[in-house]
Amino acid sequence: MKGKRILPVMAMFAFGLVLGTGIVLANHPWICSGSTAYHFGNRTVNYAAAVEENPAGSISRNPQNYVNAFNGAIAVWNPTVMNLVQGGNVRLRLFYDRYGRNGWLGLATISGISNCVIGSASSKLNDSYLQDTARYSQTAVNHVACQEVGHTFGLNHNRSSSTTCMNDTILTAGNQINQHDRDLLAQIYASIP
Amino acid sequence: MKKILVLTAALVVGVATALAVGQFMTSKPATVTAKAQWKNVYRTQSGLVMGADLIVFAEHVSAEPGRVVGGGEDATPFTNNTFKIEKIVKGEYEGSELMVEQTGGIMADGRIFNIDDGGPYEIGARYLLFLNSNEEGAFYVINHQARYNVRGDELEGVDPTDRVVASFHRARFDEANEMIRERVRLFR
Repeated sequence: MKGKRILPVMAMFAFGLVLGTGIVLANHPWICSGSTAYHFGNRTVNYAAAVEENPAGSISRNPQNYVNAFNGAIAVWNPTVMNLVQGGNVRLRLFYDRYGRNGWLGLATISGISNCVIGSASSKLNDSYLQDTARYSQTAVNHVACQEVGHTFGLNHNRSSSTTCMNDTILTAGNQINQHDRDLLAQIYASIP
Repeated sequence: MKKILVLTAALVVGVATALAVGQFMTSKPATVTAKAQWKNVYRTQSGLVMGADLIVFAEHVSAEPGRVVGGGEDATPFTNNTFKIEKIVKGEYEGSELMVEQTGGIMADGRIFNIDDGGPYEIGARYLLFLNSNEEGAFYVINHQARYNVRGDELEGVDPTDRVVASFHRARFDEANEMIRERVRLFR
């Protein structure tokens, strides 16, 4: 009898657990700890213009393609809560190079992390693959650049929409972000000056 | 009325517990943490199986520093991992040991660089690896969907929230082996 009474309570508790976990995972932040995303300590982020990381001139694709892609990424993320400023005390560096055929088209790195606050970050485009202009259009390069810059602000991949560069299963969004990305950034940086 | 109150309280406690656990589940960030846009991200188990040149069960033997691209604090290090092959499930490879290049490793200044492919391999641990080779003949793990730690008799994926990873995650060694062979047979 007692078991029968406790059963619905346990079921409701389990449902609550699932619901709560869903709340934690429903968004797409790059989680540092618990439900806290990695983030810069300030909405204003100084960045350096895109350069070849190892300036050996070994890039096969026109380097201007990468520079344009990163410039487009900066332009699309700037009207969000982020304020991206070129030069000064640089905390975000933008690179392109031949990183080899290692499986990735682009990479975002964050370092100097203290209490989930990012000290410095970089976004990299891999010319070893992206040199193939027949396979990777400028839209595809823009997509990768936009995503790698987005990661450095604390955003994870978002596979639920095809209208954002944060979707890592497509390369067709180009320099495009959606309202969800803007809202999530606003949420992450709500208490950040 | 009392019943509704008790059930509501149970729901609230459940949600609160999940949120609290989420808050206190601390991940330990590496000194340099990296996230990739992989060249190939698969929507199906078949896609992953068919996209791999070589699929092996193997034991990790050693890790050596590899090449480095760039310099200074933004350099990208690589690690050369040696595996002892236990079983080849797809593809052909001659020899009992296999070198797999991994993005990440120890940087010149001692910092550890980890990419979101599961991080460093454990020496002596067994893995199921979905590999591709580059023009130099070096192998690399395709992406975060392509690496499984064999714990006891079960596979453990890097990110079980991924649909493809979930299809192998917690599968038994023999089950996974058969699932892959079945896919290979189907698409031959």
